[in-house]
Amino acid sequence: MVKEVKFVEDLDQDDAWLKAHFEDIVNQYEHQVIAILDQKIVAVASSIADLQRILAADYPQRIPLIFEVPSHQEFECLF
Amino acid sequence: MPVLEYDYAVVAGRRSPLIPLGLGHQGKWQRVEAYVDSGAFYSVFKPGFAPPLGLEWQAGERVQVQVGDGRLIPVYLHELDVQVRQYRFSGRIGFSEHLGIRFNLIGRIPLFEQFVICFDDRRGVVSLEPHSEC
Repeated sequence: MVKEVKFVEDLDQDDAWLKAHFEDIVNQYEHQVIAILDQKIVAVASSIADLQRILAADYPQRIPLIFEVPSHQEFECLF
Repeated sequence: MPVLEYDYAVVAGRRSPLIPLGLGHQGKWQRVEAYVDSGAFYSVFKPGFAPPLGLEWQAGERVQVQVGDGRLIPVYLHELDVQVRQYRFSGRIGFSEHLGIRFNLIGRIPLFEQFVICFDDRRGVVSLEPHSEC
């Protein structure tokens, strides 16, 4: 059952920002994990666990958008 | 209920249907991007998203899932809250460290149970329409 509920963060603006800068982000951050908050990259780490530690320390009251950045090749090899 | 539309992510002209969503458990939330995969029965996310939700990811129901190269991988299913824009629902979400790709996959369970989904590759848009009975 789907119900309408306001989420604690804006789910769309950071997604739109990510997609507007997608090619550059893949070029710059491939195989890293990034956190986006208020249309900015606020943390970068080599693993999701490491990124979670940074976010827990620096943004304990917020929920950034987390994205593990694939390489160009990984996009091209999707079937 | 209004239809949701999301632009594809584009790399080197290759379009991929990524959508943002919230994963929740007992009031704790994570915000992630997931690849909408109509060929995936289960949804599979990276285990790193489970601890902040208070989940021990390997404590979930274990199922075996066959992936593209024919291997069977263990996936651990948990009942989670899922938020897509203004819509929230509950469903089974899997975690696995063996998926072999960097994307989280959101598949037929639970997304396609709740929405009619259209992939418009010409426009580069994926749309989600809540089922009318929901």
